[in-house]
Amino acid sequence: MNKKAIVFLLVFAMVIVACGDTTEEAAVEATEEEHDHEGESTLEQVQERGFLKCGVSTGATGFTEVGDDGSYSGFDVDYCYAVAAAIFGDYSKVEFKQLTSAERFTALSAGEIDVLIRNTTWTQSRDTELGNDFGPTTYYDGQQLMGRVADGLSNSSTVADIDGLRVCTNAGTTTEKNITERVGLAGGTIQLITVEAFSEAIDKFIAGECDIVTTDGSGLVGRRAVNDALNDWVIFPTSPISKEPLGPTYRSNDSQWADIINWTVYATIIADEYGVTAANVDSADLEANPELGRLFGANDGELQTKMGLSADAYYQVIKQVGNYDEIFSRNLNPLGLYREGGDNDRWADGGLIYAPPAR
Amino acid sequence: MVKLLSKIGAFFRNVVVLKWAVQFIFLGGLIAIIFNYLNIAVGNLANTNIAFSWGFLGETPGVSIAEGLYTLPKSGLQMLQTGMLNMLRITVTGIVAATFFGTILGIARLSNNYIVEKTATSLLEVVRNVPLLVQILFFQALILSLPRLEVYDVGSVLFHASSKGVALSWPNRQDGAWMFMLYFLITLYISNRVYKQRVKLLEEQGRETKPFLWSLLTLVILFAIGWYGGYRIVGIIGFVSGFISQGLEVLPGIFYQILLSVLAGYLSFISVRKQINSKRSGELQGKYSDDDYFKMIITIVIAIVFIALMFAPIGQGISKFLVGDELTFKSDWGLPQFFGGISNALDWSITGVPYELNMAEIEQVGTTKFKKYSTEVGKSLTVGYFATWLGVVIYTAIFISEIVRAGIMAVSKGQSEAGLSLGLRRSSLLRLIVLPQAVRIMLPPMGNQYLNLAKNTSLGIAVGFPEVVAVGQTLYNQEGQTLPVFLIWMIFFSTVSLTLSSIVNYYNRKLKIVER
Amino acid sequence: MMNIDIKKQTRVIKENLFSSPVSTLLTFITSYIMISFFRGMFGFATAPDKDWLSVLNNMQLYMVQAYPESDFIRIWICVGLGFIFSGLSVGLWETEEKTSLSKLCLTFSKIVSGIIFLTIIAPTTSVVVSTATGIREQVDVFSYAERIPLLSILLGLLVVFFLISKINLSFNKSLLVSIYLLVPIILLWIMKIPTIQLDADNQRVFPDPLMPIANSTKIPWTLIWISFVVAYLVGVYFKNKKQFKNAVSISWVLLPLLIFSWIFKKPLIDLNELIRNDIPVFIGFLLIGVLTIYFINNKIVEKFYSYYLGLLVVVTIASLFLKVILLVKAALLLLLLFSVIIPAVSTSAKGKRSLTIVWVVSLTTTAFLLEGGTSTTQIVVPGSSIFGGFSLTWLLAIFGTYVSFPLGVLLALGRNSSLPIIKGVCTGIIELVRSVPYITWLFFASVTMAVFLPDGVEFNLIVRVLIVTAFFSGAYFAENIRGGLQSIPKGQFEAADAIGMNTVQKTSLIVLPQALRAIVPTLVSSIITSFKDSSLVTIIGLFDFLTIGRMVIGNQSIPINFIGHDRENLLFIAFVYWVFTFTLSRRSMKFEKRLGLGER
Repeated sequence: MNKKAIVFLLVFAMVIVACGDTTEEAAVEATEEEHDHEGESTLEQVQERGFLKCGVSTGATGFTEVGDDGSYSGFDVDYCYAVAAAIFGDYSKVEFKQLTSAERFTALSAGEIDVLIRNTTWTQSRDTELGNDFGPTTYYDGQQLMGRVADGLSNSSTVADIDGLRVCTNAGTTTEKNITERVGLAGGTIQLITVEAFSEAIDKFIAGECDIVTTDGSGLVGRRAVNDALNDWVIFPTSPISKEPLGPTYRSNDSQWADIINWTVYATIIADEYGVTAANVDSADLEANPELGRLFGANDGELQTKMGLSADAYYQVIKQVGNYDEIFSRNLNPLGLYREGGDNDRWADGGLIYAPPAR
Repeated sequence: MVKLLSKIGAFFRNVVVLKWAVQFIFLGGLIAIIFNYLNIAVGNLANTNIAFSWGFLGETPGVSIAEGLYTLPKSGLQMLQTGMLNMLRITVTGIVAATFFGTILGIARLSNNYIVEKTATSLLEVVRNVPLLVQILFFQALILSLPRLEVYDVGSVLFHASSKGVALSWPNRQDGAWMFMLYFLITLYISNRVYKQRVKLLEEQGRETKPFLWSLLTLVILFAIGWYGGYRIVGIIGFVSGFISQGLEVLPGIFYQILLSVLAGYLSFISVRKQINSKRSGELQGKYSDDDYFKMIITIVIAIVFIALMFAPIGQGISKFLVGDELTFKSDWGLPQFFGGISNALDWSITGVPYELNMAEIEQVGTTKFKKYSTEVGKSLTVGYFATWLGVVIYTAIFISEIVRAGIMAVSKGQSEAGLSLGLRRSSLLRLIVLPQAVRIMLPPMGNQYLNLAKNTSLGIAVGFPEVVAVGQTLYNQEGQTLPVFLIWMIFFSTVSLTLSSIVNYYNRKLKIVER
Repeated sequence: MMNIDIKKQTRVIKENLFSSPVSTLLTFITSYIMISFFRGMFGFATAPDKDWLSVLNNMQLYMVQAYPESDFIRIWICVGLGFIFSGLSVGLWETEEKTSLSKLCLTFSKIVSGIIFLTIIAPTTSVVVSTATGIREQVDVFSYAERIPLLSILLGLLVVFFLISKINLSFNKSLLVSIYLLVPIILLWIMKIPTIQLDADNQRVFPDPLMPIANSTKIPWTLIWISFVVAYLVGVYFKNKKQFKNAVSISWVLLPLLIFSWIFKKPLIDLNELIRNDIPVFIGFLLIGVLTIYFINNKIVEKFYSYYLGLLVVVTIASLFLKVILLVKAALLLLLLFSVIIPAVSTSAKGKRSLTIVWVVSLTTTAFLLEGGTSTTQIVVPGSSIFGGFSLTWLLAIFGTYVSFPLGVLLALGRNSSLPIIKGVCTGIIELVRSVPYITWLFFASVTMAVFLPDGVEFNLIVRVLIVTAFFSGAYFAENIRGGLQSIPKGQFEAADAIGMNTVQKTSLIVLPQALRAIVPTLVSSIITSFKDSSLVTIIGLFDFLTIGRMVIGNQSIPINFIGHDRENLLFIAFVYWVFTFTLSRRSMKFEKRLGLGER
């Protein structure tokens, strides 16, 4: 009987040893996976992971939409695609994270996402206090109000005219503050109802719970184009009550990553200046336009490889996603938002969309 | 040597030693884990440049709130107060309404009438099986599908509903309302005393003393006197508290430190004495177990820590870590303001009836074509408030109806049969025999439902009702201080829960005593 | 004969509806309310400004969000498994054996008369609020001319049922149920539904053409329904086998784990790793367990038991902090649990045998599920997480319950413990968690929790929500379990002390089985609660079932515009939640009654 006990303990000990053997190997692998992120640049992390994590909105018509098969589309989404195309040469290597306005900066600083492209307004406090940096503005927006002509409002109405009214807006961080501030300056008071999603605010406006609805002008124009069957809605005041430059946001202190994002945006703008689109990018005359040649990696693409990208990175962006004008008109023209004559027109045509030269 | 070893072995095999060793290891581990995560949090916050601070409570948030105490709050604190009051508004009115509807529904489910019973049951099955959030959104959609207010004419209405909300005729509070309320409470107490007095007389002398009639008479007479100005008598309280307030203002901060320390010391002294007294006589005399010692030590330690927090530098260090600021006691710290507030509210010179019944009114907004419900006369409820209120009330009422039904069914059938054989009518049977017994069974689960109702009001955030969670979210959206806001939520909801459950427990105990 | 019947019926009606003036009044009031409610709902649903295709067209989005179409077979397998086990359970726990034709006809006549009544009272017009002026407009929806054909068909059916009911025939209920179940299949193949079509300019074609259901939907559902019926019949056949019933019950617990770890996620398995690490570990532990079971009560080995247990405790705790593969940790924990209770159970040959079976099965399942669960997903979902829509709702509901259950047990034991510090800490956790609404905990998960995580460690929002949910429903569970614990008579503890059990044995063999027995009924209701509560994640922006209807579809503008059709979607969502919770609660009530668990 004593033998059995000894055998028993022996087997036990053997298995424990066997476990110990597997232990070390697994441990080495595990540490490699978990801990080596520290000190790595964002680009290295993204390349190692194999896809980009892009923070987008939970829903903003024209900017972030989810289609009936779960696929994403929109202006912001296309810029996520563009960044992925630049890094991997494959636009589809993106994982989208839908973020509410409250959690977006936490998600960015906690490393849950690599870049935040979620109609985020560039403000001083966000740039300096929250540990973020902002890329070039992709869309110049401004907060406006919308009411009905039948209610006695018109283009020339001002913030002073909404004294005492009930105003709906979506929870953001700047919209509520802007409207409160401006109405206060005009000497009035409003009853401000804050809902989470803009579609809810529009629902309340249509039903008549709110007299006025306010958010970024792009959202208002988009909704008016789609919902206003009787041509009764009017957007005022003509010059927006706030400046809302929207663009990509990333963590500070990683200039390589910042350059990649910035120049992806600039590449789409430069391509637009030269009239290069996804359709004609292959036939673009790179010899005649050396700037395009440099951007598309025709001349060794040294500029791109120094950034840590492949030489044809921006060629892939234009090829797979398109230039600025294509991205804009694809997503926003159906909503009644046009570039012509607005802030988002080319700089040569009087707009603000401008890119530094690629040299 | 061997002896020593065996002694050590015996020491470690001692049950008491083992017990406490395990517990202290557990506690140590827990504290270590908590500190570890706090450390990480502090580091992470430093990385994102958001240092933990309560400063936002004093800063102007710069946003407006749809409804409540301060629609344009001057500070974060005011903003949160508005949210808290909005939440309490729904909770208190909701509890009353849910209890009322729940009881009716519960009785309806026991009804002999086929259609009534089936209707109540199907309502139960629908409401119970759909998420509350969906229901609240549904009620909102229902109100939003009403016509716009702008299509109606300006004027007074008894009741009105449009996509801007609901307006009711309502007894509006006048200046003397708060004083009258206090007066009314006193009146209630007096008439209760009268009732008890008459019952005592009845028991002692055996003659019919009509206790109910007497107390009702007292109530009516005192109410009538109070309504037409008699409530001003409580102005005396205001007068006295005005004096107290003035007296307190001259006291220095050290007074509060001493006051609170003495209070803490006294409380711990009482609790330790209670522990000792419980084993002073009888079988267990002087036999204190290790648990008893532990409890006594803990009470004393808590008191010492509290006092240290008041005075010692180490206490200031802790407070700086917890609160982000040193505890400073000023004379404008609370008590004088508290008494001053009372003296302002209970003002001798207020006159007029306390409440005025008004019709709801549709008004023009300025000179525009827009209309709104008057907030001055009648009662206007916004869509968010109405949807949230209706949602939580119906949802809770359904669960209360189940409790009521179970409670009534738990009262033995013999009781109702005995009542019927005495010739009681069904309604009197329910009121006099069944319900009083059922209430005792119903109360504890009912208390749970009240707590649920209080917590469920937080879903108002989905329909734009600014209750404490929604307001807190707006606040941290502005300031980035998520952790302090979360702590405030926690403290607030815990306070509400504790208050509610202690009220329920109080009645529970009271009913139990009646039983014996 | 007919006359007596009518008299009796009138008496019943009088007693039930008009027994007193008050009762009569109540009858009229409630009837009026119910009828107006129905008319309102009907008018709402049929109003021409409603676009119900916004629901139908987005069904895929509702169910699985962005799950790739190429892997849809996996979803069908999951649904199919669910249906097969439902069929088995329905068959196994079916009571009524026989039914007669007349009884059946009576049921059908009741249904048809109900429909006739509703058709007659349905409104002819519906109210549409004009978006521009806010004025209500009446629109014709369901004219009497349209109703007459429908009514005549229904009346004809009523007559037919009346005639058939005269035939005296009785048959097995299972046959009837299988016929019922075949009806949906026929409907699937002959029904035509309105479908959205786009013309050359990507504009929607009005009116929407009627099309048969797409093959990609039709064929899987047909197969699933057939297997459901087959499973039902199998269940009826094995009705009296107790082992079969037990196996089905256990499978219900394991099914969600299997679905979420293996089928839905399509785990990536490294064969090399498997042979090198997992299989040796698995076999080793299997051996140790069996040896322990068979030799622990041996007189000589018995002496070493306490050393063995001590060693095991030390190794287990150490393994938790070491970087060991997960299987080792889990298996050690399992072994520890077993080793504690083995001496008390494996006293007879029968006890040893059943313990061995339990050990092998539980270790195998653990290993299998860990293998699937720990592997990172292989399904490539372009752009988002593989869980979304209804699958996310179920994931939150089921896993919320799974994770919270053991936590709840621990907290309840802690709160009931005689050690003051542990008791205080557990009570504190339970009360703190319970006093704050779920939504604030969700906010904690979404914005605050990231602050507490060390650098480099990041959890998906879904995982964070699951952690929070585990604590939240765990605290509620703990209170339920505590109720169960308190109902155990004191004599049982004394008896256990008398036969020399230690605390762990007492807890695991005497206390918990009884407490858990009282908990089982609340398990299903807790899944239901979790299912309903999971809708709150919409507020923190997770894409669950409700979010899709509330926020996503209302935003779609490309290629088809569904802006402003939130109400239809809300009603649909409410209906789906209702169907699932109602069926679940009804079924669980039936099972409880059958098992005699609810009664004490």
